Amino acid sequence: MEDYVLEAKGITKRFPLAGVIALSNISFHVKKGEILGLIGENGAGKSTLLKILNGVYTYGNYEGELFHEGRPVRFRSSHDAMKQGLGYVPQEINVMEDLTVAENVFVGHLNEDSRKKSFRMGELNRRAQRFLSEHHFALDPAQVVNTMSIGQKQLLMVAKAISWNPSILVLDEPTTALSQADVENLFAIVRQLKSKGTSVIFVTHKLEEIFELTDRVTILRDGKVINTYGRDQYDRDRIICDMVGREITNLYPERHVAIGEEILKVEHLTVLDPRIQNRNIVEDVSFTLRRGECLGFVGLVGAGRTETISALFGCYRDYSAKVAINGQPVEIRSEADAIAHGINILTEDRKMNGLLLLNNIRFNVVMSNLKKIMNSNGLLSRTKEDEESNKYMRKLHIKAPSNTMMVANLSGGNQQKVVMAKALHSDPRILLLDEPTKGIDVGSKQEIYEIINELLGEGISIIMISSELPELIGMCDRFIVLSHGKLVAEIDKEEATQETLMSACFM
Amino acid sequence: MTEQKARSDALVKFFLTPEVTSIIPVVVVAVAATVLNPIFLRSSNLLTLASSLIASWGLLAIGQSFIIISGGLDISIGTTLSFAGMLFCFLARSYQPLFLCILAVVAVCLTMSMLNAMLILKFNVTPFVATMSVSYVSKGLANVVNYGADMSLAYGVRDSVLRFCDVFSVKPLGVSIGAFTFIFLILFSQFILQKTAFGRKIYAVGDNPRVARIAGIRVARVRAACFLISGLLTALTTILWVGYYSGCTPTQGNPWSLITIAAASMGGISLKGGTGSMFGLLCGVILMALVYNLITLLNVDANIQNIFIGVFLVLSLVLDTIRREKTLGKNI
Ligand SMILES: Nc1ncnc2c1ncn2[C@@H]1O[C@H](COP(=O)(O)OP(=O)(O)OP(=O)(O)O)[C@@H](O)[C@H]1O
Ligand SMILES: [Mg+2]
Repeated sequence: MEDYVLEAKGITKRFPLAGVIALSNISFHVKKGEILGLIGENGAGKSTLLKILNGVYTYGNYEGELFHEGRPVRFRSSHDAMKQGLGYVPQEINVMEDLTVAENVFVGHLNEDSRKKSFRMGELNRRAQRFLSEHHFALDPAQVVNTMSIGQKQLLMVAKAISWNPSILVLDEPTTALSQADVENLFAIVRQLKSKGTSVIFVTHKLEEIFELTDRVTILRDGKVINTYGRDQYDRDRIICDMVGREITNLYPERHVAIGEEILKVEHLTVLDPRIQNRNIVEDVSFTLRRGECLGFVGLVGAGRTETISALFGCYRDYSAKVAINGQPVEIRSEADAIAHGINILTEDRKMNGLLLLNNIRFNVVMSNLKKIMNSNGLLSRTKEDEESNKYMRKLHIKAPSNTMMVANLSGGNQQKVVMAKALHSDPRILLLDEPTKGIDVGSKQEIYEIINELLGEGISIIMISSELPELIGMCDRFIVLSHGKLVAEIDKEEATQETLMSACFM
Repeated sequence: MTEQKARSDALVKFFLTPEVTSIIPVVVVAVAATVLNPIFLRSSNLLTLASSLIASWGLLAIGQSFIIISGGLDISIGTTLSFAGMLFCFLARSYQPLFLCILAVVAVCLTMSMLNAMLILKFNVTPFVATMSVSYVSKGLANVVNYGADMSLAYGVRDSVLRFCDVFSVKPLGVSIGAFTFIFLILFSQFILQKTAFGRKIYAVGDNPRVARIAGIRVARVRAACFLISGLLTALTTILWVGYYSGCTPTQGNPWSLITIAAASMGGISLKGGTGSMFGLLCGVILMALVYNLITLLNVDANIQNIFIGVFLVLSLVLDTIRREKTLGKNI
């Protein structure tokens, strides 16, 4: 009993305004120096539970009791929780974009010793450097955050949480945006913390990570604890079954699609770096895409994958390329141009580029194509809007009481599904998918793969980016490997294995 | 215990609906007005209220709301009105024909609103700073026209202008043309916001321009269109106003930039953009008009008005934050 660092008893959390009971009567504990995995479907209540543990939802906003090192605790704020030893890295990226890494890490510590009224930048950077290298973070203290990749921002958030020397570190889906190398880096950091006696709660949708890292795993479904297994009882199928309530035999469903004629031809695509002068983020990339084909973009973070498809979608001003669709040369100068040519995109960062957070599910889904919900008189039809959005809510299993739920209140994975629904609603001929299954649970992943297959069957062509190689290998017909903004290899499905693709990245 | 909590939560939700939050103070102020001065309830006073107060600046508030919902702000509409009004009078007193005066007003208002739009959309100036600067230009110009003095249209103008003034001060059914226009435009604007693709785009652009752009919306065009609408409504107000008062002063419109913002904000149109409705605005406009009327009836110092505008603006901003937290949770 004493070696429970954290214990929760009978936690219930309701969101009455939305009519949602997110957690019902949850009890669980974390032992000292233990890594506890927490998994469950999208909307199962993982993030909500973590927010309670970390004082985001303060005492009084939930039912039940929390015990920290045997003592009951009632956090008044997340800062309060942090000071009492609970480190928290939320699911959504939340950093100060215009500050440096060092400032981001230490901004909360600056008023610690109030005797010192001022501090020097150089000293702060040195302190940050010492801290970062001690924990093996590959981050530059002087770098301004808005020039960093999502993966680096994610690591920065972890660093910031660790800087408070927490007795428990809570990580909510920290690996969704990380490259393979960064994931390993993070795991090393977590193991080092564990060896020093820190406990970790680790949320993920990737079972491999549970198997590799955690000592125990607790499975949530519909706001309830379904089961907890120790490391020696780990069993893939059983865990999945506990999670989604059914078996998943074939994650990447088979597809029988005849690939047709060439739809898209991109030649000599070059994109200037919008931040650094006289540098290209994409250089002389040429590729083609055929009807009903799924083309995978492979590369490390910073290889220029996202930039390539963004350029194709008209997001950049300074780019040059010869683009032809169905053999006709086209000029794409804006997102609206791209959409007019039948191209649509699912963006990587849902909070920044994907969702209208002040609006509800319905509004977001239909936004990508308003013509589809118009009556013959050119006015928007509420009926059609409901039909369309409900269709996608069913198809993608978006978990919400109704289509009028605010997207800001959805769980991360369900938000991602809304972004997916939005892309599908636009009826594209060419669909660009940037990390389409980011933060999505296994069951829904399989459903999304099935939808992708359906689209390909209808003759839609897809370009897919994913940091999960198995997903790319499972779904794509052909691969293009990018490295430092240049195309370094083109690989066919037959030759594609994790090894060949990875080694191509380093060519 | 929990059932009680659920009920109180439902109550909170109800009271945070923008229309409700702005209706309540309307009722409170109306009751206070009746108690403090029974004249308030006389039909003649209510008509004055409807015509001169709501009508005269309600149109400005509609334009302002379009801009705010699309993510902007315009603190120059009042001074633009002053300048355009003075120019109207100047031309009329120079024996220019009526249509020329009207044309000048439209031209001035559209130019100013396009200037704002260009500064904000092309040169990336924040709306507050851009429109503040433009407001100083028009403020100055309004004073230049007649060396800072008022102008009357009661004499020294063409007959057509005299007749024009007559028409606009006549009140069919006791309520001026402006009030009808206002109610009509509230309904029409709400229709645009709710039922047309353009309206949808306005909300989307105000919510998150980046996401809107990726959805294929030409963001700058939508936002510029909102400025244009506001410019047209400012022109219309100027014309109605000059006719109604048979003249203009160089500071006639100046306070109204802020009052329209306060009315929109009180009506639940968030100054952060992307939310709100014209029905909410209607409530906000009525509220501000009532407060004004009450101040006049009680013979309080006119400067007190400013205190009220400020207080209501602050109050509405606080409400906006609470509303956001309650409806969007801690996720944003
Ligand atoms: N502020 C809120 N208002 C209403 N409902 C909410 C709010 N926050 C969360 N919910 C609901 O609570 C449930 C649990 O959400 P939570 O974010 O905890 O899920 P999760 O397990 O983290 O899922 P994911 O894997 O998708 O991140 C969801 O159905 C969600 O819609
Ligand atoms: Mg979550």
